[in-house]
Amino acid sequence: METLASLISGFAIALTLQNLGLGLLGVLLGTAVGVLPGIGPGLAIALLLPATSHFDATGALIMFAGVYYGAMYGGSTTSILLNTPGESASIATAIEGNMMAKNGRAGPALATSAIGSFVAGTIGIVLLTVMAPLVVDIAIKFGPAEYFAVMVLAFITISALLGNSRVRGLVSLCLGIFVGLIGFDRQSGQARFTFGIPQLFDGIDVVVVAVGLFAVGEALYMATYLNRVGDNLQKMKGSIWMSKQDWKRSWKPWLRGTALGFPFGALPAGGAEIPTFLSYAIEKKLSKHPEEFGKGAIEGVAGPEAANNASVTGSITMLLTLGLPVSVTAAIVLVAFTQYGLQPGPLLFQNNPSLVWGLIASMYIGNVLLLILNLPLVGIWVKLLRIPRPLLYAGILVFATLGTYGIRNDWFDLLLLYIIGVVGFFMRRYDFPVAPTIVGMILGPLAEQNLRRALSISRGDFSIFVTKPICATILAIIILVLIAPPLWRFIESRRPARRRK
Amino acid sequence: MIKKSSLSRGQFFISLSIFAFGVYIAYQTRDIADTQGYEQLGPRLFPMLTGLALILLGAVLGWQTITGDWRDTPQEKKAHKCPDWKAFLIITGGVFVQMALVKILGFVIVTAVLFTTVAYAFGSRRVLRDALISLTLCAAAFLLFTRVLDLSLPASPLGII
Repeated sequence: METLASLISGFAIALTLQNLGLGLLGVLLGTAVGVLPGIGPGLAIALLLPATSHFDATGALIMFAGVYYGAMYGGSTTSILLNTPGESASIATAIEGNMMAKNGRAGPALATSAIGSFVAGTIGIVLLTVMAPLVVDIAIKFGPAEYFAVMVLAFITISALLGNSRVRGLVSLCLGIFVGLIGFDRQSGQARFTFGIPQLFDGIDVVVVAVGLFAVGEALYMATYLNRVGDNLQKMKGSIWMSKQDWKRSWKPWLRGTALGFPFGALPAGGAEIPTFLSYAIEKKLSKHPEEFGKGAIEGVAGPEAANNASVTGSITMLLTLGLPVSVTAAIVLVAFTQYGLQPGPLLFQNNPSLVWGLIASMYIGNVLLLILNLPLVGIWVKLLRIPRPLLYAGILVFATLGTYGIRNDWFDLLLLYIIGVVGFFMRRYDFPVAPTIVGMILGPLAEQNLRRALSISRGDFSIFVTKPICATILAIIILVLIAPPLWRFIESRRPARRRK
Repeated sequence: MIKKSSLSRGQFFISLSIFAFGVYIAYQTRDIADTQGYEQLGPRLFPMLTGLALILLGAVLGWQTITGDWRDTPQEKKAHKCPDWKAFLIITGGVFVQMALVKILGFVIVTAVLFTTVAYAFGSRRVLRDALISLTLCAAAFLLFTRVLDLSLPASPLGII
């Protein structure tokens, strides 16, 4: 009941004209960046950070949340019509969705992904509303030792579970932690890796790193390697509406996708990539028309899209209740909180309930707005895909440098932006995931702080990490995550060998 | 989907750079003054761990290069065979011109130059059209930033924008 009262007061805040307007602006921007190839929600929010430094915190965060889940809606449009998924979470949608579009069923594909996103998003927010106070009750008991353990878990899962190579994921993580070390150490006041350059004393701004890796690195890579490869935009043919048969085949995958997406989004496992692929595999197995998979099965769009959106609310739950970012976008939203002097976590619910509940309420409204915006207006969003590539990337670089230079009007930041962009170019070329760098940079300093605090409390006794039950459990999970995949591969590799004998 | 690749100079160079960077971080850690006060762990531990981890990871990657265990997604392999370094250099030039002249010429002009250069690098040859689009876009962004959002950007010598 207490939750319901909080939620109602949240709606009172979210429904003010200013916050409603910012929410609408957020979902519009989010859909646009989701549709445009080459820009994701993380980059968009990073670029908005310097621009919104004078905003009121609640309004700005409502806008950022809108960008986050708006981009998830928009991303599906691109994967269905262009088959170039803007982010890894949309790859599963692209497989079946693009085949449906090729068969002239782009309309129903877009509809099932939009309605599925709405269903999953709304259920996700209901879960967030119900679960958040419960998680807060546990999180309030967390001390530095527990936080350190959870952060190490996030490091390991994000870099070791995603991508092709665990080694390269860990390299990316270490690079991020190194960037996070630059500047004055928060505890001892010692300068680290500043090379005597005054601009580095405060550390490198997250905006510069995110924009450098995502915008500059991507633009350099596209120009150097992929500019000669043409795009193949599918036309919007036929009705946008789903037939009775489509509905019948969609609703179960929506619910199953939601059930997968929310918990996986909440786990520190890098966001939506794993649940979308799991959902795809499950729908393929359960479908009455398995022969249609690979040729445009609607279940293969409905399930992963629902999983994708539910995972966003899952990761927002973790961010709000624990202050723990489990995906790149969540990590950048965490930076947005700190820009306004706020620290997400259990204390935020006590000290700033109007902001938290206003934000949660705005997500209910945002999902309705997105459904309205996406279905009838899909034709307008598709026009964005017609922007010629040279102008698109030129525009991305203009906004990248605007956002970077706008922080403090220093040319040095533009140099850093370019250097980080070149690093991003090589990471893309040699298939290093970028997400661990961002998460490492943001969580690294926090992990260090918590480790040092924990050891100050225990007076240097490392056994604090095994004697506390929550801490010991998390450490056990970390060891499991590290040992299980190679062990599994070992068992798998022995099986066919035995059969051959 | 994932294929073994043959020994590549690029991959070897990357592994070596990671290894060297790790050595450098570990070496530089000595320059950080260690404060052993009431704190149990000083500011040296994390940099040292990061450096050592990069040394180890660089070595593993180097080994993977030699044994051919470096796995790539072959999706973009074909594109990797014919890189367009001219485009890379043109964009680089645009960024450096912006960096050097932004204080003198103001944000709008140098950023319009950057836009036109990047569009050129991506193969657009309608330079006049691109220049016009870029001036409009940059002027609009400038006004939005300075007038509406209350942030500062250097104006051109002509004033206004």
